[in-house]
Formats: sequence, structure tokens, C-alpha cells
Amino acid sequence: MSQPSAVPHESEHHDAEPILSVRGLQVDFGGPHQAVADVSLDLHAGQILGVAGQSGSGKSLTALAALGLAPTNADVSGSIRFKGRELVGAKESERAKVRGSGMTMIFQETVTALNPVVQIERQLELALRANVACSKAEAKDRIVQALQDVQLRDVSRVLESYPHELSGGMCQRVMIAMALVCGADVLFADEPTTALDVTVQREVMDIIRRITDERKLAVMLISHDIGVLDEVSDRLVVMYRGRVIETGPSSAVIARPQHPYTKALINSIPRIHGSHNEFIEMPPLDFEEFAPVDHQGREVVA
Amino acid sequence: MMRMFLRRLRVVIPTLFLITLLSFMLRVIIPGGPADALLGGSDNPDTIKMINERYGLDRPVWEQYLSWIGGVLRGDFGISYATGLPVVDVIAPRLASTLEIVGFGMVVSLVLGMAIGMFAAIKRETRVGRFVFAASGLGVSVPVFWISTMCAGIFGAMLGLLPVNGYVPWFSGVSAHLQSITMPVLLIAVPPTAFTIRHVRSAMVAALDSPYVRAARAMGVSSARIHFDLALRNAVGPVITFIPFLASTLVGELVIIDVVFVLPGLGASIVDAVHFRDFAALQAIVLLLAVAVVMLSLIADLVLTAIDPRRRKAVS
Repeated sequence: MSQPSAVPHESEHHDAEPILSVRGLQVDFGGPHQAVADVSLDLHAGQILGVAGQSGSGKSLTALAALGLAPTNADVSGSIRFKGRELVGAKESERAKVRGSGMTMIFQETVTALNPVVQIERQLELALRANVACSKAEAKDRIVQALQDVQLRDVSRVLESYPHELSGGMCQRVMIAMALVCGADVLFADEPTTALDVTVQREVMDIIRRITDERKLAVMLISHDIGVLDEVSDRLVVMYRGRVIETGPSSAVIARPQHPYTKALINSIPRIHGSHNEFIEMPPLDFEEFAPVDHQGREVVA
Repeated sequence: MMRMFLRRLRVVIPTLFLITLLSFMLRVIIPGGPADALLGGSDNPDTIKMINERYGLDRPVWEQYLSWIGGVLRGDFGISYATGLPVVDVIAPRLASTLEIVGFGMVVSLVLGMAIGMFAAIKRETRVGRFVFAASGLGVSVPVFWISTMCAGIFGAMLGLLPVNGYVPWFSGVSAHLQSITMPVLLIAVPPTAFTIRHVRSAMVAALDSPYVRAARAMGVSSARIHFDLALRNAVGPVITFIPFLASTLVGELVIIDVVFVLPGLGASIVDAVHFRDFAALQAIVLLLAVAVVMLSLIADLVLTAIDPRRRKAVS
């Protein structure tokens, strides 16, 4: 089941070495099903990879495993290469060095993702100093710059605020700014706008798109809403029961979904005009029958 | 802050009133009176009448209460029936050993409890972490009278390491003084330490499993910083709230420790007062201890408001 790609610029990205390369990732909690059964994906500089799928499909766990933050009772195997360096099986001290300055993550939680009893400035400073050695004055400059980059108005007020004094959207911007001051090359954004209202959602997505382009970040944007991903991501990965079942340029995946699960996911996007969506009952899919699809023209799973 | 203080006072003042009422009720509830105790079973009605008149016990209860409260507000707790001395003179000499033992007991419980509780939280997924947690369960449930008798027997009587009775004041020798309070302090601290371990552990675990700690890890903040800066800072609030409870636990055990180690403290005074139906002394001690615990809660609340920006905001 292969589908030739119609998007020419995709091939350029595949010539460049990916910053993060995940191959055959498995995360096992010892239960009857593997939480992540077989995931392979690449993150490239300046690109957003959208990862879609329902709860429990292994999206977040893939990101956490890449950071080395999977729960301690999880058994992680396969290969995770960051800038050519293998991380699976690496020492914790080695992995800790990559977190922050190499790879970082923002979450669905907005206000609670910030320490409730510490002012924003101190929190940003803590994140900065964990990764970059610099003078007090330089630290302040970088923090202010990062907050301006995420288009926070009234920066001086935000700096001396506590998280509960800010809105969800502001807190998420602060989290993005925190990721920026760390100087990471890879950003995992796990449902970053799910807790926000629609207009703020759009602004935050635009910020993520812009910083990806400006700072040449490699972004993995996780969402259950394939419609949101369609707007900002360059490529898409659809996950189902711990596996990548369809991948390719976003436009190709959305325009010509091949896998029945992808079709159902796209069908679930609410429409304003026309008839309401038909509910598609999803039977448990057999991976033998419905092989994973890669719009580049090769099978994802060997 | 001031408004918060006033708001708390609205609760504290009725609480204090209730405490005076309850401690006064002791004399109404407990059977027998000073006449019984003083006369040793003699039932000569004239003598009983004379004693009751002397201490004002023949007056209506509400009148007795009001005159007692009036005295308390002026610092006069009445006359001790058993000794005939002012209650203040009976209690004052007892304060030294009690303040010292409860104070040090509090310090030991907090220091050990926080250190061990943090350790148990950080190591919660390891065998040693689980062991510490289980051991703290034992510490919470062990009866103080049993463990203090055992320790007095083993370390005092059998091994002769530490004295098992009496209180040596500072001026009679620093080393002898410290030896005399070592076992009482450590033993009175057993259950409070165990309570603190469990409390600190759960507060730390809640912080360590929180979204902001996960986010901090993702931002590359080191484990040491996460444990000692983020998680500890957020666990301090619950611990401060917990201190008044700790104090009331210590006060409850004081009676046992004073008796087992023959210490001249308030715990021993309570036992004597009950024994001799010395209600004047009993009321005063109960009132004193209860007021101390209430005041400690008030202080804990104020400190908490001062350090937690969310509370500060909520009340200002």
C-alpha cells in the first residue's frame, strides 16, 4: 500500500540529517499491550511534525521516552538518536545533559506547569541557569527577549507575577519562553493548546510556527485534533495503538488519507457548513490487513 | 495581612472562650471535690461545708466561672486546693522542664521528620524508601508508655548509659542536665517524628508528581534543584500547617514521659492535680496548654499567609 508523494520540497528535508531520529521505539509496562509498540519518526530543523491520534495511542509517551522522562516502571527499547548520539541505554547523567539544552517539552497543563509559589522571573532564571552559564544582567536580557518573542505584552508585570495571576494562554507563552531560554534544538509540544480557548489557541500555534522558522527548531506537535495539526505542521504522523499507521506531508495525508483510522480521524473534525459528520464506528483494526502507509512511497514498518 | 489576622481572630476568640468553658467544666464533670480529697474520706458535713465555703465552691457554677475568668484575665489562677499556694506558684517551677522537653521534642521531630520524610519521598520507588515509610507507620502506632518503659529499662537500668529518673537543672551541671533530658526528648519525639515523616513524604510526593516538576525536568533543571528547591519549597506550607497538630501530640505524651522519667513538668502536675482533685491547678494547666496550641495555630496561619503568594492574594 504505497502512495507516491506529490509534494516536492519534502525530499530536501530528507537529504538533511534529522536532529532527532526514532527507530522501532517500544515502551512496555509489562501489561498485555505495549504502550508504544513500534514508532519510527524523524524531526528536522525548522519543521513541525504533527503527531495525531486518540488518547492512549502512545503520542505523549513517545515524547517522554525521547526525553528520558518515561515513568520509571516503563521498559524503553529501540533507538532514539539525538544529533547522531544514541540515547536508549545511555546513562541518566548523559540524558540529563540533553534535557533542556538539547530537547525540551511543553505540556497541556498551563498554570499548573509553573511552580505556584515562585515568581515567573525566578522560574525562567532557574531554567536558563540550568542550561546556560551567564551573568545576572545577561540572564535578564535573555529572559526579557524570550518573553517578547512569545508576544507577551507588559513583560515587566509578567516577570514579577505568580502563575495564578496569569491566564492560561499567558502561562503557556511563559512555558514556550522557558523552552526558548533553555536553547533547545528539539521541542516537544504535548497538546499545548488543548486547555486554551480557540482564539488563544490560534495565537499560540502561530507563535510555535514562527519560532520554529526563526530558530530552526525541530518541533514535535502532539494533538488529538488532526484539524489543528493540519494548519501548522509540515509533516504528519498518525498513531494508533502504539504504532505509526500513516505518515507523510500534512497536505497529502489530509487530502488523501489511506488508512481507515486516519480517515475516521479526519472525519471527526467538526464542520460548520454542510451536513453533520457521520459517526464512524471504529472496529479494532488488524495491523496485518491495514498495513501502515507512508506517503513518501515506502512502508513505515518493515 | 492585617485583615487576615483580624479574620482569624474572629475564630480564635470564640475558640479561646470555648476552651475556658471546657476546662472549667472539668470540675463539674469529674466526681468528688477538693473536700473529699483533702479530708481523705471523712464525711463530716461541717468540715466539707467549711472547705467549700473557703474556696467559693458553694456558689452557683456560673458565678464561680465568672470569678475564675476574671482572675485568669488578671493572671490570677486562684489557689491550689492541694497545696494552699497560688496556682501560679505551683505551675511556674514546672515550666522549665516542660518547655525544654516539648521544645526540643518539637525540634527533633521536625528536623528528623523532614530529613527522613524527604528521603522517603525521593526514594519512594526503591526498597529502602518503602522500608522507611513502613517503619514510620510503626512509629505512629507504638504506644509511648511502652517504648519509654522499654528504653528506660534497656538504656538506663540494664546498660546504665543514661539516667532514667529525675531532672537535673542547667546550673547543677550542663552534662548531667543534657543526660537527664536525652531519653525523654527522644522518646517524646517518636510518634511526632513518625507523623512528620509521613506528612512530609506525602507533601513531597505530591510536589514531585506535579506538572511543574515534570516541566522543570523537561527544561533540564537538575534533580538536586528539583528536590531541594521546587519540591521542598512547596512542601513547607503543609509542614507549617502541621506544627500545631505536632504540638498537641507532644503535649499529650508529656503526661506519660513525665511519669515514666519522674520529671517535674506540667505532665506530672496534671497527674497530681487529678489525683488530689486539685481543680484549680488542673483548669489552669489545661487552659495553658490549650491556649498554647491555639496560639501556635494562629502563628502558623500567619506565617503561611506570609510565604504563600496564593493565600496572600486571596486575603488582601
